[in-house]
Amino acid sequence: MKKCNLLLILLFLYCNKLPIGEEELDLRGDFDAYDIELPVFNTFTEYNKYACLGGSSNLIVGKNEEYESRILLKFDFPDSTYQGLDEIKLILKRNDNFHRDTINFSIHLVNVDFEENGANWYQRTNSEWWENEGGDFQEDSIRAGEIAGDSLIIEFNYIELEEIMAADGMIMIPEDTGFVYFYSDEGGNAPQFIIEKNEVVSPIPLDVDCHIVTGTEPFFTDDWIGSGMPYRNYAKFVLDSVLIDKKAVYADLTFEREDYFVMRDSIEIVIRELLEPIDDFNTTTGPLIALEKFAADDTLFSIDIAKHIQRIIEYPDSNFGIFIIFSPENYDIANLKIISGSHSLRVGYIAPPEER
Amino acid sequence: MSLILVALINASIFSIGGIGQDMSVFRTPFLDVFKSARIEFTLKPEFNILNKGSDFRSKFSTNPFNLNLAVPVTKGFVFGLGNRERFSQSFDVFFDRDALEMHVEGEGGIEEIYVNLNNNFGIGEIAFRGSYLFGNATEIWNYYIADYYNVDTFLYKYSGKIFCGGIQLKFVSVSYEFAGDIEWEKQNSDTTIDLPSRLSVGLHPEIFGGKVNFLFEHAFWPGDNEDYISPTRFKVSFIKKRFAVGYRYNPWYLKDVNEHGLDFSLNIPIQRLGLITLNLGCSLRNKESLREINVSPEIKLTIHEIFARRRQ
Repeated sequence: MKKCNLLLILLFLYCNKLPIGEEELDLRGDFDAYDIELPVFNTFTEYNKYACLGGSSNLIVGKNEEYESRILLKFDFPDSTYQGLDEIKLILKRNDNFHRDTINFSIHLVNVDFEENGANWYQRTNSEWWENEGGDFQEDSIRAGEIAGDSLIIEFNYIELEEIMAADGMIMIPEDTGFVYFYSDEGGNAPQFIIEKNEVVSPIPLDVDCHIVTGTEPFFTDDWIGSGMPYRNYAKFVLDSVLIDKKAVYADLTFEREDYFVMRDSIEIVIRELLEPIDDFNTTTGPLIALEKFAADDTLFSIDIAKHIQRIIEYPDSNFGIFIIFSPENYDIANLKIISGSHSLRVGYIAPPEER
Repeated sequence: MSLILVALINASIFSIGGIGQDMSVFRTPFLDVFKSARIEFTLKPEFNILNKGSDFRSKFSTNPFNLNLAVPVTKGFVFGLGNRERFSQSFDVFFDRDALEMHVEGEGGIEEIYVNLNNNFGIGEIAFRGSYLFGNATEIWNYYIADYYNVDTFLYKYSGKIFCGGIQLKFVSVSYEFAGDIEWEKQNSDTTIDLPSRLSVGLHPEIFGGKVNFLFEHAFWPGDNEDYISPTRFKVSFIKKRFAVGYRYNPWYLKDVNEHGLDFSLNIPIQRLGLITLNLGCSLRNKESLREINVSPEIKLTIHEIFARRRQ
């Protein structure tokens, strides 16, 4: 028992965090903590309606009053003639990370070539435009149906196979409201076009899979964050001279939600600081300042951006503001509308310690 | 438990100031080697208990092995080589004032590699020592305000030199350390600081069948360095057969830090190998109402009989 007591005393002595001798740190500076609220210089939204979503982990088909998304697919058929086939089918697997809607769709053949990393609602490649926004495709669908289960399996006949092979690709178009998320090649469960003959299954190599999105364009002074149709909320705060030569321990950026559209349970918001004065959506940004995960239905958002404040304390001429961004911007179709005027930034700071 | 101890590698809290805790006090350049070569390995862990009022907090530190090699060459000349810590900048302190909490950890310091060239001329010894000083130190300042956390890191790099010369006769010794400086690379600036010269005077009379060692030491910090004081220290010890006991008074070069210490030593000869020295040092450091109790058991293995046999 005595040994046990001795061990407990030693453990207490070694593990306690009593600030004994804290006054020795006064040799290195004055460590009183203060806080200050920085005034907002301005906030607004930049967006990119020409975003290419070929790198997304998902293929999204659906629409509502704000968005419409279509899936483009192209397979690389090695043989020009197929005979004696038992089965011809297209399989897309649903991503269960998103809420499930049941929607009707139609598949149309595309008349012109397009690129995975060049196609968007307006363009089929980086330099060429669709004649019709949202894709140039045959008016009559090759197939239509309903998406309801874990995966979508569409069977084709010989005639349809010949047409698919002759076309430049396929486009899947939503026929009613709701959204369905399928895995893309990048998501690890790529769409499959399968040909079966004498019980031998031959997958056709996937050439292109992507989706193209159109969405509401915000008014310049709206404060939106979005993915799919990416919206970046710009915010800039006025640096108070009291912070010069100080150490920012925290910088609590907060803003409140007005409305949102998200089809998963949580969202990730990142902060990137601008490395030059704001010009447009593609203004150069630096490395990640902060990344926070929130429940999709949160109403108040709080993110520590001390790294940004510390940088502009050290380089006051570099206060070009920050972008508040969904991460990743191509993963899904979502938006968060922020109450205008709700941005605030409270900075806690101390005088930094002196070197020895 | 041992894991916790190993994880807390800290030394004196007072090493926050200046260039840290001076680990070289009461150190002279004499080797006391006459016939055979000698190798010493030393391990000196430290247990520090901080005390203010009724609050206590303990810390543990351990210096890596120190090595000391001394080899008689010819005509009384002895060559020596070794390493040890010169200034320790390791510490660990918590801070809690109003809204701000901090945890500050320092690690590292200034190390020393030295070369001795001494000469035993029968009734005494002349000594010369040249030292290369080097090392790195890191300070991690962790800040906490409410649920927020931030951190600063300071890195220091050192390189420098210092020399020491002295003469020891039968009952008296004098040594002087001089020409010491350190180039100090900080994150935002580089600087060179002059280390203090140090005069040590020793008296070693034989009394009561044993030997008494008095050692007085005065460090001369350069006049333009107003941050540091030039302390006078002394140490007295009595050695009889295998036992030794001593007292030391060590005011630091940092203002208001004083240290009183007691040392107890026991030499245990090991046949055909050499000697194990067990030393228990206890000291009380204080600065105003802040006290630090230091207990440092030192184990030193001296190997010399192997070399004596080979020479025969």
